[in-house]
Amino acid sequence: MNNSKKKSNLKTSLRTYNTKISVVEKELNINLGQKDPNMKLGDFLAQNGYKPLADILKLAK
Amino acid sequence: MNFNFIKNNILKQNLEISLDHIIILATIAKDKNYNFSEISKSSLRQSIIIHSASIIEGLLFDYIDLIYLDPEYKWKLKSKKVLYKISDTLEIVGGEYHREQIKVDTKTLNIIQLIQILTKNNYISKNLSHNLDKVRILRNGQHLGARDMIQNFSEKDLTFTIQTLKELYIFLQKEYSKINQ
Repeated sequence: MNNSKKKSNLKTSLRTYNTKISVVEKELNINLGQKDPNMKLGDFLAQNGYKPLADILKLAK
Repeated sequence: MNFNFIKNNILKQNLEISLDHIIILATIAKDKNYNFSEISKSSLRQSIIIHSASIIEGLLFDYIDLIYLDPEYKWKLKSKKVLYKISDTLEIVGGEYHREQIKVDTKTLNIIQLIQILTKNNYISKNLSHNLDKVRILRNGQHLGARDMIQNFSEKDLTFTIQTLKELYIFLQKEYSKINQ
């Protein structure tokens, strides 16, 4: 069977620039030490050494 | 979705999953409840570098499938006849010299071949090619048997890799937009 015709059973729940960090903390059971639970994941990444990664997420918005 | 310009739906989903995994690793690295050792930090960075290189390879693979490549040729000696044997390691031969087109199966190309073909055909700049190759070399750190030292993946390595991924992403977004016009 051709790969392009195979269907994946994986259901993907993807994080975006606008995903709230409180949601990410709950999903991954981690503490990011931020006061604002509504902070956007993209903003958090940009402020914590991952600006190019945040930029990629922003470009896709 | 981050890779909307990719038409191959399976590839697009695989790219999304890999990017999401990078986000998870990057976020976990900032967990205040866990004190990562320097070795753990290096290993986390290495994982992000490997996944970034995997995305880069997937993107280059799709791009090379989309563009036209000039056919390549090689010369092949047929009907070879030994005219004079000089020694066990040297012979004078005759025969027919044919110029044949090389058929490239893009599905079998690896990251270094993808970079080389795109560079040779002027589809990517020398600077982007150089940066992609540096990421490939960092990615090759996963081959433990080939290492001659304990490799430390630094913040600089990590930032360079993601910056190069971003550079390629922006380049391809523009290229696909031109191609699809």
